[in-house]
Amino acid sequence: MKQKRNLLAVFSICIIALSVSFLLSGCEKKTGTEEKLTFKIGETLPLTGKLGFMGESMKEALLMAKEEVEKQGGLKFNYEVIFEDDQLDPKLTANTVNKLINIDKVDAVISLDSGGGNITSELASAANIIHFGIAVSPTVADGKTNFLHWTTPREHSRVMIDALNKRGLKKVGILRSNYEDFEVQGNDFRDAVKGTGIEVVSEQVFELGEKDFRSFIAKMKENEKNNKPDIYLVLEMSPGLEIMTKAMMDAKIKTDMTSMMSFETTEEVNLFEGKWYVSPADATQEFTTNYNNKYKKNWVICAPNAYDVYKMIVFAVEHAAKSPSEKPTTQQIAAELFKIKDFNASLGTLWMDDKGMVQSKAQVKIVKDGKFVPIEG
Amino acid sequence: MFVQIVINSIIAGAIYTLIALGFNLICKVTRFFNLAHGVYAAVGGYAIFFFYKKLDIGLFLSVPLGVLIAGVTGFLSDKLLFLPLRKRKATSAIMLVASLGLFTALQEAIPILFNSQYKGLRDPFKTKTYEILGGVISEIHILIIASAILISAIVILLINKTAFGKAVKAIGDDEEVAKVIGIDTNRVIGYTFFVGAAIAGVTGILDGFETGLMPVMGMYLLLKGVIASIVGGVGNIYGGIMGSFLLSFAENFGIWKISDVWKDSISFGLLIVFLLFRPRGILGESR
Amino acid sequence: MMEYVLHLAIFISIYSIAGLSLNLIVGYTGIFSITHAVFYAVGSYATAILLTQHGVNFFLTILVGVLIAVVLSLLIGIFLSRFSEDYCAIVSLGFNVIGFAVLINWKGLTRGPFGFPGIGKPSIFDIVLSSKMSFLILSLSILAGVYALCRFLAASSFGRVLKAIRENENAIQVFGYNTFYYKIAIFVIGSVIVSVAGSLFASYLTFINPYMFTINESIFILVIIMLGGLASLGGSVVGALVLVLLPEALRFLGLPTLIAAQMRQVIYGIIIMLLMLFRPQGLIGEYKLQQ
Repeated sequence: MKQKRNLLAVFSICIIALSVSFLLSGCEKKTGTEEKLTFKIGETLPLTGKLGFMGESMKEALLMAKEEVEKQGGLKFNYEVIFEDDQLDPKLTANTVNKLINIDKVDAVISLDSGGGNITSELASAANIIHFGIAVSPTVADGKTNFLHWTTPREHSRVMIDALNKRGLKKVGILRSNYEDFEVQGNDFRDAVKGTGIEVVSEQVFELGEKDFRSFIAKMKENEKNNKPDIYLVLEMSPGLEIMTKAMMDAKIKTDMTSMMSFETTEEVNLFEGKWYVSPADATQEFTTNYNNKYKKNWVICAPNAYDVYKMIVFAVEHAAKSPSEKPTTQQIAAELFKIKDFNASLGTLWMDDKGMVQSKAQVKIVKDGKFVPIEG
Repeated sequence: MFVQIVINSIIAGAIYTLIALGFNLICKVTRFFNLAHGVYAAVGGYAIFFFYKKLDIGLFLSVPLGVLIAGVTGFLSDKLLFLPLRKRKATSAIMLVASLGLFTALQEAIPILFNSQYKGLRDPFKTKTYEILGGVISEIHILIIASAILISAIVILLINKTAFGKAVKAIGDDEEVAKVIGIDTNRVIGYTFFVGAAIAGVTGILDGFETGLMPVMGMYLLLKGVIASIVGGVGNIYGGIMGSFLLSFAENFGIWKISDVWKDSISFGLLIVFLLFRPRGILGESR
Repeated sequence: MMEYVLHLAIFISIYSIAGLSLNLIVGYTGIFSITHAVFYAVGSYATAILLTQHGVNFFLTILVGVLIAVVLSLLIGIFLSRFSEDYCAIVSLGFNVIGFAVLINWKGLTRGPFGFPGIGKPSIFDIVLSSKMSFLILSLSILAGVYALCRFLAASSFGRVLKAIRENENAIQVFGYNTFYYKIAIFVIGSVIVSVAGSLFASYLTFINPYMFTINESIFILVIIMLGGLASLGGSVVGALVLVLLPEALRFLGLPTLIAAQMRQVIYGIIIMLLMLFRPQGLIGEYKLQQ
């Protein structure tokens, strides 16, 4: 009997605690006496954890976009943004997106990364709201109301192949972790080089989270004896990127490195001083200057994408709505998004393809004086 | 390449030895697997970051401070958590779970104080590298190996030649009897925690310099230390050293022919093989 | 709001099933296993692969998952049963690590790090359980069945032998009981049940990848039953309730976003320590871990 009483007590406490929390959070939302309707946009990002600095920068860029849009004025609706931290863990993304959709009642949701993006696509479709993902995997854009804003792997490969050819580099060795995005990119590159005169002479894969690269590199050196690559294509993000690079330096590997985006994920930029690479984000000078002025630091990769996504959503909502007294339906917003052409954004002029993937260009850049500087091919 | 793999095995073995030393010491006197041991290393690493990089005190001051802080963390974890548990006659499984809680709390507190981004401690452009017999080794690696040798020697001397060491051995054999013959077991255990955690701190500092700092760096070291200890014989200092090198050689030679993505499987595979055929470890348990 | 509650309720029921199954192994029999996530993954991946690639009915996928879990748990169980508690913990952890490596590297079968997006919902006779409410009813029904089964096992003579093994394995061997068979049996039963939970998980979340089945997951399930109380069936449910709701409740506490997630984890760790210090039998348990 005592057990049953304990059970009941604990159960009741939990229910009460939860209810209180819900009520408290509910109290914060004022039922506005403003005239305009509010359009809510939810974001599920890694605000803490290894890539927390990336999520933070995205949040900042998005808030900057919001400010700029509001300054321009003439909006039919009020826009509210709600951020939730999912630490790039898809299970948590399920929780955050459920909360955003069902408690905050957002009208659109933005996600980062393929794992979380896939889950968000499902949930957003089911709830019939707009979803914009920033991820590599095309499945995130499945469905008529799911969209993707990230330079495609094929575009990356194309620009990389051009850059390699211009420099007379024919033999490429791929070094990557087994993370989904890098596998997608690596596979695409292998496919894209067919018939271009460039050859992938080796591909070495390591486990995400690896710390001990010494023997991995010993094997690299051994491979170099048989078929030395002209350059290594590195597909990995922080911290594996820095650890591996330092280990390569310790082992006196002389072969040069290049990457797609990777160099921009680290704070230790000096490791890659002087190296060229292909970047997905060719942000305009205007965006960079504004961000620097506002936040006194450099933007982190994916931030311009977040900025653009916000502006695109607002643009579509404003154009889809027939009048300020009625929020447009998701289908109407989606229709407007599909029409996007020549959209001036931080990443240049964007247009939407018929699969719901924003087409943006890849850009060759070089690391100079600790900054990422675009160069001509 | 063979030479390089041997060199790599020695380097890795040295790191594992350092972490296993501390782990074994504590295991010897407390008889449970302290899963928080890895975090003491992280504490040492981040403490050094704070003093060396943030406050810009020189290395000579920062290192001892870092080691001290790691040691104190270990000491406090005993006084505040494990000692009260021992007084309540907690079983080793309860202590294991409690250490898991400690590990979680401490490891997640690190990004609150510092952020969770990777931090390097050395300038790789300035690190000297040497060639030996066709393989390469850098000065940080030599430092790691030297530290492992030095600290192993110190611990072995400590255990065998000092009164403290004798007390540790006595408690390791039988805590009740040790109490009966007048050893203040709780005090000795407390100091053992300090020493063990301090050694972990050194490991964290070295690892921080070699690869860099991440809040989760402790987990990696802990797992290696646990495997090395069990393979060598839990609580056995010499066993820990042997186990560490067996592990590192198995890992590095193992991935010579197969892809690196299976490295963790090799580590645990070794553990499982040992437990199948020689569960008490190479040199037998000592606890 | 209701949808959010339903979502949490489904998570709680799935984790309750997982907790109950682990409780049979750890709480009743004393086998300290930290490899439960592997069998959870078996169910999830069986459902994911068969449902998305072959259009097999959801309930059949559960069956396939169960069959695979039986074979796998026999192998692993035979091995684990030889060890005492702390060693068992470490070894089982090793199996989890190896299991994860297989999931992420055997790309032909598991699609490696890509995981499986777009896993369908269960359907019975052409009725698709697409709403949260219907899924909740399904998971609660399975939970009820599992709970009844556990209760039956615990109260039976089989269950008494298990508890005796937990208390003093040598003693009961003296009485002629072949403890080895009992331990294997319960390990297989427990693994099979959590595989069912895994199938539910995959279908509900509609997306799985290997990173959901690491040792963190095994530890999570272990903490659920330790919190709720070992060898307490109601405790497993309570534990699941608290551990699923706690981070969500803390989300509403309005901690500054920069440290909110870490703060939650720190609180989580502190709770575990306090629990071990002051109430090691868990919230409702009767049994404190013994050697």
